[in-house]
Amino acid sequence: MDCETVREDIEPHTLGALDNAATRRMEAHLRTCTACRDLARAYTLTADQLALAVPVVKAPPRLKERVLGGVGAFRPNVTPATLVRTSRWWAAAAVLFLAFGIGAVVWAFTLSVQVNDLKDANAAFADLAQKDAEQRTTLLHLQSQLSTAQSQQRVLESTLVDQATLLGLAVEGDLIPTELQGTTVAPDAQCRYIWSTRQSLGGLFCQKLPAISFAITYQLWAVRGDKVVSMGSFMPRPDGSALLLYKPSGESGGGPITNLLVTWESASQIARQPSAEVVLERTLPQQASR
Amino acid sequence: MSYLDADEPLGILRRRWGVNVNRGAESQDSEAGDRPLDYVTAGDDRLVLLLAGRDVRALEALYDRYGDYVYSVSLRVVGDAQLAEDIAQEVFLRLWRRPDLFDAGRGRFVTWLLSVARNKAIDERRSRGRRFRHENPPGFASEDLPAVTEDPVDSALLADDRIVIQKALALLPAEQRLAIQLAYFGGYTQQEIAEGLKQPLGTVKTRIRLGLQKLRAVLIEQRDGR
Repeated sequence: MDCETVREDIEPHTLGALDNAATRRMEAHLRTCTACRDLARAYTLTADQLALAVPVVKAPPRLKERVLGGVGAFRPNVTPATLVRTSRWWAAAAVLFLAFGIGAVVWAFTLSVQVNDLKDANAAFADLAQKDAEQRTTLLHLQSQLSTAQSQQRVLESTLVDQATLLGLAVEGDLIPTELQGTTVAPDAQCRYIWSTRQSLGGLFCQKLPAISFAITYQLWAVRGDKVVSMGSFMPRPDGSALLLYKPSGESGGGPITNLLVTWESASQIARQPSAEVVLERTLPQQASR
Repeated sequence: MSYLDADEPLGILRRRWGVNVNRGAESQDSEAGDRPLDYVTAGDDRLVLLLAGRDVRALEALYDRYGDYVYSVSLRVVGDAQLAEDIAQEVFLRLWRRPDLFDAGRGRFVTWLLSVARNKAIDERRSRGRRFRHENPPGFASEDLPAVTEDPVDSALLADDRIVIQKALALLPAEQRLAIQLAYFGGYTQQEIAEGLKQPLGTVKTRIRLGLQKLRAVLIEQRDGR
């Protein structure tokens, strides 16, 4: 492209009115031709004046905020419209996400409150259960103490009855005591049988009886003529003493008692006849009443 | 001295001292010494130099001065307020990022800045392709600029310059003025203008050539006559 051809297009070139191919040819020439470049520059200055002819419109105030915000001077209140358009979906998604997030937080908070309430309730129930267990334990302990007291009361009452009976036996004037002495299986054992005709009551008092298994019991026998009759069984106390009261029934006939003996019998069954294991027997040939 | 030559000494001063001798307030900057800079009265070139140091107040001052003009040129080209706003923002951000692109020796800052806005708007208009052009065909009366306008904006800053160019345009024959404006503000090629106006290509070329030559002559004449 020569200078003459170029200068025919220099004015439209400065206005940007050449097509792409012509523009490329023009620029290639201007890079190498100072005269044409200076002319193009002069017309460019003229063309640039055209922008001043545009009626001036007041720019929106937000434009300044956008410009200064864009360089970090301050945060813009308004974002570019293209950005606004493209970010609407993101904003909607963010709002939804935020809503879900808030909902999740509220839900989690509600659950947390409910869990805490349940924990408090469980703790209260645990306290109540513990107090109930303690009260039950206390009640059982009290019941045990009551049972022990009742048992002791019964023992005491029984002892009082025995002592009253013995006191009655002791003050009676018609007592005929019968002494029993331990045999070879219990040589230290001693018993005394006292009968009160007025009270129609007999009592056997023993000492130094050997301890026996729980499966065995002592049993007192009375010999009436040719019959041997059981007068009762008894267990020795830990100190070896023992007491047996005997009140004969109305049909316990058979003649007067001619002898007394104590045997060891099985505790699991009622013995009808004395076994061969005699523990104590009468020492003197005395006449026992009834 | 020609129009072109008349700018050269000023350009040298601008390059060397950062002083805009076209504006009275600029000459005070070189005498200011260590006094705090008054951004309102500081010269354009001085403010552009400050941009290299990331002086946000300089950018703000330049925006306060020319923001409406940049926006107006962009709006004139694309015809869409939102798009014009985007373009104007991009122009100032580009100025912030690359203030060195302005060569004070090749013209006034404001004409350079407005040409940047116009080029950016033309690019945006062209990038929107055939559909945009089809909806905004050349030849519409709206492409023509009013002869002399009473701006709603207080544009006393460039009032003289604006009156000069508007009067120069008014002196052109209507068909030449329209062809120039279709090319400059519409971004149309000569071929497109010819098709849009249903005129021979040669006729459009002649109108553009003669119109711009006359415009240049009038501007030089008016400038020398001041």
